[in-house]
Amino acid sequence: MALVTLIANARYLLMGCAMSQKFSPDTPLRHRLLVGFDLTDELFGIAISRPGWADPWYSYGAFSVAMPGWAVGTACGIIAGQVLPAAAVSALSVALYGMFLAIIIPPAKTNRVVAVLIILSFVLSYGAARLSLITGLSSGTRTILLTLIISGGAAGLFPVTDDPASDQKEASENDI
Amino acid sequence: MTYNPYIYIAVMAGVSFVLRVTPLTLIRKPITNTFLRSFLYYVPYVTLAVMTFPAIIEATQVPAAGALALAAGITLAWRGVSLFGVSACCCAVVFVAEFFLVGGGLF
Repeated sequence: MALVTLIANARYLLMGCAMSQKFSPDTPLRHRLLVGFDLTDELFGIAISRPGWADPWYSYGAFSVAMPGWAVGTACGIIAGQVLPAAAVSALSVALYGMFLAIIIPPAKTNRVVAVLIILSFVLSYGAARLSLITGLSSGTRTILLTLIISGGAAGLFPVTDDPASDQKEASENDI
Repeated sequence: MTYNPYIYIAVMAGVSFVLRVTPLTLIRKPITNTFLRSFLYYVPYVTLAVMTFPAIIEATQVPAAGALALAAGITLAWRGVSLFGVSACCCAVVFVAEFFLVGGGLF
C-alpha cells in the first residue's frame, strides 16, 4: 500500500525538485516543509509560473483558499450527489486543464523548445493513454514516465545554458 | 487480521508528505549541473502538458467539447489572457458546445 502511494505520487517528487530550484537558497526549513505539505498539481502550477524566486507567502495564500475549497467542495459533492446537472459537471471539469494551458502556453511563445515539447507531450501522452488500455498503467504512472523521458531527452538535446540569475530575470520580464 | 482505515490514511499521508518535502529540504542550493538544470526547467511544462491531454477530452461528456476547449484555451493563453480568464472560457466553451452536441443534456 505504501508502495502504491509512492508510485501514484511519484510525480510530486519531480515537482518538488523543480520547486526546490524556485526557492531562494536562504529560504528557511519551516517554509520548505509547509510549502511541500500542500504541493499539488494546481498549487505547483501557479507557484512555478510566478516570476522570480518563489514566495512562500504566495503559496500560503493559495493554500488558504484551496484547502477549505477542496474540503467543502468534496463534502458538498458527497452530500449533494447528483444534484448538479451533467452539463455543469462536464463544463467545470475542464477548468483545471484551462489553468494548465494558461501556465504552459505563454512561455511557448518565446521559447521554441518549450513549444515543441508541449506538442510532443500531447502526442506521446495520447499514445500512452491508448497503449495503457492494454498495459494497464495508471495515469499517474504515465505522467511520471513521460515526464522523465521527454524532459530528459530535451535536457540532453537542448540544454538550458543561461545562469539562474538571468533565467529568473527573463522569467519576470516575460510574465508582465 | 483487521485493517484499520486510520493506519491506511496515516501511511498514505506520510508517504505523500515525505515525497514532496524530501527534494524541497535536501536541495538547498541552486543546481549547477547543466543537464539537471535543463531537465528541471522542462519538467513543469512537460508534466502539465502530459496531464492536460488527452485528459481534457476524456473529462467532458463528448470528446469534441473537450477538444474545442483545448483549442480555445491554447488560443486565449497564447494571446495573453489571464489564468482565470482562460480557465473560465474553457468551461464556457464546453458548456455551450455540449448544449448543441449532447441532445437534451440539460433540459
